[in-house]
Amino acid sequence: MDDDREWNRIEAELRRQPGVNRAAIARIMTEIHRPQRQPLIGRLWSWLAEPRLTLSPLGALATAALLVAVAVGVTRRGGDMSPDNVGPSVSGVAPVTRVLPVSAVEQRQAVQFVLVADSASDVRIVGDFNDWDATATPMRRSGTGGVWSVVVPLEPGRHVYAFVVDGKQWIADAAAPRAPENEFGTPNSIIMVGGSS
Amino acid sequence: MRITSLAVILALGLSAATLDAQLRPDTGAATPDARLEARLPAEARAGVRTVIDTARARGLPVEPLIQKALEGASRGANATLIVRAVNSLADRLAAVRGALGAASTETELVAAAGALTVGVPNATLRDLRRSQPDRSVALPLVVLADIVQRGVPVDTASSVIMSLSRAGMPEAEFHSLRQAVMQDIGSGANPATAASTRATGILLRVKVTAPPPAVP
Repeated sequence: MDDDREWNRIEAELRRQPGVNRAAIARIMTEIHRPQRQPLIGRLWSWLAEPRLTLSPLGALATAALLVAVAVGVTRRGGDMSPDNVGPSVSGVAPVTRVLPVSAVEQRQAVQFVLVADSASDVRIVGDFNDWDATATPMRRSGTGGVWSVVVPLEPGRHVYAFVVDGKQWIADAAAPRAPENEFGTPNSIIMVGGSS
Repeated sequence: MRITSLAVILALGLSAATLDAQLRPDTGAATPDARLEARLPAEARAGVRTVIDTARARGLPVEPLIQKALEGASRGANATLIVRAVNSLADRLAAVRGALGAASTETELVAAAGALTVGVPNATLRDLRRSQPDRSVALPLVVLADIVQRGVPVDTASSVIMSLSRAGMPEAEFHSLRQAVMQDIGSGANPATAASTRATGILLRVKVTAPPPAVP
């Protein structure tokens, strides 16, 4: 008996509650589920952190090895001094050696070396920046004239160099300071890059 | 990919890169052997190696010595000449380090060794270091050695460079001096007169154009 009364009381109480506004509930639920516009950094982080694939520890190891191999390969190729890797080809330049604007590669600066040698058929530059390897850094003739040039990235400091014409004649750069040492017969030249550190 | 996997990859990558860097020959110590072995005439190797090992033990920079040997090899010099040139450079590096101080950079030492070659005395090197203890003396030494080779007497050249150095001239002014002296000599001027006149001109110009001292 008591139970019936209690149920009746609850039913009466419920009937006094206002009716449900289903349209309002729908609007509220729509707002809740609408994607929030996050700040750019938040969106970027979400994109980066969102899981896309699973990787086993072995897979992670292989990926790391691949990344290192690529990084090492790129680093070692950076030491290549061949003209194809030192900068764009140059033409129509004045016959002077000059330091070009700072390179984005580490602290190295792109230096343009120029030699006027009308009758030369091959000109190379040798110096402490290429271990004096007379085959490492060929110069390019600009157009049909006798102006030979190359752009070489150099570390800051003092560098000694010379031009090798047709594989046999070593020539100093007339526009640059002379290297004082001359033990091997013909003088070299000096270029100071990036201040005299 | 979970964060932990990402961390594992990064950690392994960094470790491998570090290991690679450690295994890679150091250009100041290990690489020389490979370069010299590959390029030097057989008769020169032992002599050059001895000079370099001795220099390294004395704390001298060895890369300039290696480069000197490689230059000789590239020029086709004989073994005796190569060893003599490397040994001579090692001696000069030791001598100028005494004048410039143990804290001098490799660039400074090599530039000073060059100046020594053309007759610049150790006393001038010491004075130059004293005149600009907190700045590199490499460029002033390069200009000094160059104008001496162009015919400016050592005393005059030393005096001119010292005057610019004591006045705290920026490196660009040393470049200007060299170019102006070269131009004058090319036009037939007496080298000593050209150097003195141009240095005086630079000192006056910089003095005149210097901003007035700040008013407290």
